[in-house]
Amino acid sequence: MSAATDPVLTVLIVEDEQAIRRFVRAALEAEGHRTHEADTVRRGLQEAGTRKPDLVILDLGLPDGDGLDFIRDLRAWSAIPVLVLSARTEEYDKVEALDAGADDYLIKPFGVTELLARVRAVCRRHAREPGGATVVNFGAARVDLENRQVSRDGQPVHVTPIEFRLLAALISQPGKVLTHRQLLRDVWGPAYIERGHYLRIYMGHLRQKLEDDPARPRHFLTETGVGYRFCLSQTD
Amino acid sequence: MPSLSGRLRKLLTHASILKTEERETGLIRRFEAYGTTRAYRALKGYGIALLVSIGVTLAVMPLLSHLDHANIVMLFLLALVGVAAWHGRGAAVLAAVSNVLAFNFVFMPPHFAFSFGTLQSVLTFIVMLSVGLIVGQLTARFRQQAEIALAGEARARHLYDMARELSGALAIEQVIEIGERGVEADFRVKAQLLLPDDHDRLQPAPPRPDKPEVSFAIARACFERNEPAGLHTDASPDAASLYLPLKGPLRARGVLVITPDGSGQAPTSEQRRLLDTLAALIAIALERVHFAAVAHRTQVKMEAERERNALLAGFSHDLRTPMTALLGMTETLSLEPSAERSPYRENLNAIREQAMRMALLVDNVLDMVKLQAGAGARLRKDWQSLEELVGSALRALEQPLAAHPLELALDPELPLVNCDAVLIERVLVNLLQNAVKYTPPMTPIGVTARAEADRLLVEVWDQGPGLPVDQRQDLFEKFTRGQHESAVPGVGLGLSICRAIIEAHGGQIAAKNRKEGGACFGFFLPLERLPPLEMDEEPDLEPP
Repeated sequence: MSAATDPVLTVLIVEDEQAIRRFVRAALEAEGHRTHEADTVRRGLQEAGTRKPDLVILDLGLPDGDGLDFIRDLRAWSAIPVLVLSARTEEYDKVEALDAGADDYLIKPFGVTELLARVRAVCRRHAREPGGATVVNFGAARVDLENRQVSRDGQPVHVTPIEFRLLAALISQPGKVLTHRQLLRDVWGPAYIERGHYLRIYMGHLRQKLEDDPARPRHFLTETGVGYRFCLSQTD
Repeated sequence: MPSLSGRLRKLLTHASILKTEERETGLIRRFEAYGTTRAYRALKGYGIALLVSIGVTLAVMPLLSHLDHANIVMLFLLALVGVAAWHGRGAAVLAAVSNVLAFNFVFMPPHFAFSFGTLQSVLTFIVMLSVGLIVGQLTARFRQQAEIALAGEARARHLYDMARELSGALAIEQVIEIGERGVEADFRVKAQLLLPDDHDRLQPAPPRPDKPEVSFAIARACFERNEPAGLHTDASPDAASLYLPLKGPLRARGVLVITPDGSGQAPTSEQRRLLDTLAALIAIALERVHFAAVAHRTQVKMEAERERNALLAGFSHDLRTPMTALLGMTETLSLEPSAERSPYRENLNAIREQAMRMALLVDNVLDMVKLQAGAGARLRKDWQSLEELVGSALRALEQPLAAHPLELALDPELPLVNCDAVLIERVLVNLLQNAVKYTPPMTPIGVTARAEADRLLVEVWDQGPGLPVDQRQDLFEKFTRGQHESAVPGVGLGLSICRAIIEAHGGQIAAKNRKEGGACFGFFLPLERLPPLEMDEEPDLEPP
């Protein structure tokens, strides 16, 4: 997908560092997007209410509060996609941010190309009709969500009901990071949230069955310490 | 602490048992002091007995004509009861004798002469003596009991006062002062407390001018065995002092050394019991102070930890913000269409690369600070698949690794390992980065992993030049805490971080040269038993 076909977005940047705000804005405006800026949680929420942005880029460390508060507050009345900016020491904050409803994250320092790719991916995912495609093709694999059929190179692949649920949870939101908690809750149920080993074992099964090289997966990607991300193709 | 008040109550009950069992002893100093006053009081009693006999005789003489003999005897009897009641058995006997003599001499015919021949005079004497003895005996018993009750009460109050003082003590020094003073107030002795240090080793007391010397060897034996030793015990009975362990509810808290002032008379069982009670009181107070100190230390440590984490987060934010801006702005510049033809394009790329290196360095420094401050408690352990960690490490290094053929040999049956995923991935990234950095392009690099009994062995190897023999020692030096940082920036720190991470997980890491050529960095992680999976494996999904 080229930049030319992407829609023009209204982006709200909530970040207290002027230098970062400036280059993020420059990068987005160079792509033709409109930007608004806020430097505190309070201002950010006000702007989000009045400007009705298509995307919020949110720094987790803000002077008047936690980025998490912003997400929880925002999610109470809006489903606007949120892209979180986080430093590496805040890796557990960013998991919480994702659990609270953020859509994706970028680790500082990040590059412009990376930022723009994430912005495109988040917005494309958001614009997609929910429950649209029932047949998903990736690599040599083909998954028919409606008929619950999985095949690889045209040969049917046996998957257990739990493997299928995990597969469906991942491929229904391509490109999005799903945290361990979210996956354990959605696939196994709320009682299993602390049992990370279930997830490791079943992810291993899926990779064995559907990846060309399970040790170097191209589709079922690990976000260490955070969760998993399903990629349709390398460019997604 | 409810248990403390419970223990105090128990101790006080113990003390009241002492009181009721008390016999005539010289236990308390005040009690012993009765010796002198008692002799004086007895002497006074005898005097009064004689005076009473003479007084009654003189008083009755003028009334002799009006009174019958029987009445006179009753007056003497009354006087006798009085003397017996106030002054005890001895005085009563004397009064009985003197009364009989006076009555016989003055009032019995023949007047002013003794006549013991009649039955009447013998009977009077016997009755007088018996009444005197009985009343005197009774009085003596009552008085003794009253004295014992008073002594017991004084001791109970003293114990209570000491317990109260001890429960208010906030420092070890206070407990020592109150304890020693309390023991010395009860006995004619010198008391000293010896306490252990933080590693539970008894410490000798510094010599004090007001205290006698004590044998540290006996004290230590007493402390280690948690049994009394020294004077009047089975262990070293020749010593000049008695050594009592301070038996706390959990363990011995020290030793109470008691040196008698005068001749070494063996303490009675009551005295020993009182001493044990005092020792137990002191032990409880010491234990309480100890735990209060432990709680305080823990709180301070948690506070320091929180502060350090906040500092690290702030530091990380402060360092990363300008780098993020720098990197972003450089990239914005290089994405400009005009940058293609710019003569500064090289410089832009150089700035970008340096900023990236800077960011990595900051990551390493911050990780090292975090790990060196004792990472054990902060590991975010979960069951991880090593294959997955290797996969994400390879993905993170996709670009630098592109120029190297990769050989992966991961046992497909690798068990899950309980570790901090972020940190172990960092170890893999650092080792792979080293391999890339120190081997020419197109040199094969490999990762192998296999389970060995109760541990997981992971090796990152290359077919490069290997580790120079003279530098290999250096490398190991760097592994040992990172004081000897190498001249090559980044390397030493990267390996030090690997070592810190692996050791925090209870594993080991080492470097060697391979026989086939090239270097090999290997680490072990301990394997634990995986918690059982609760679900039965479900049947394969049936086609509809």
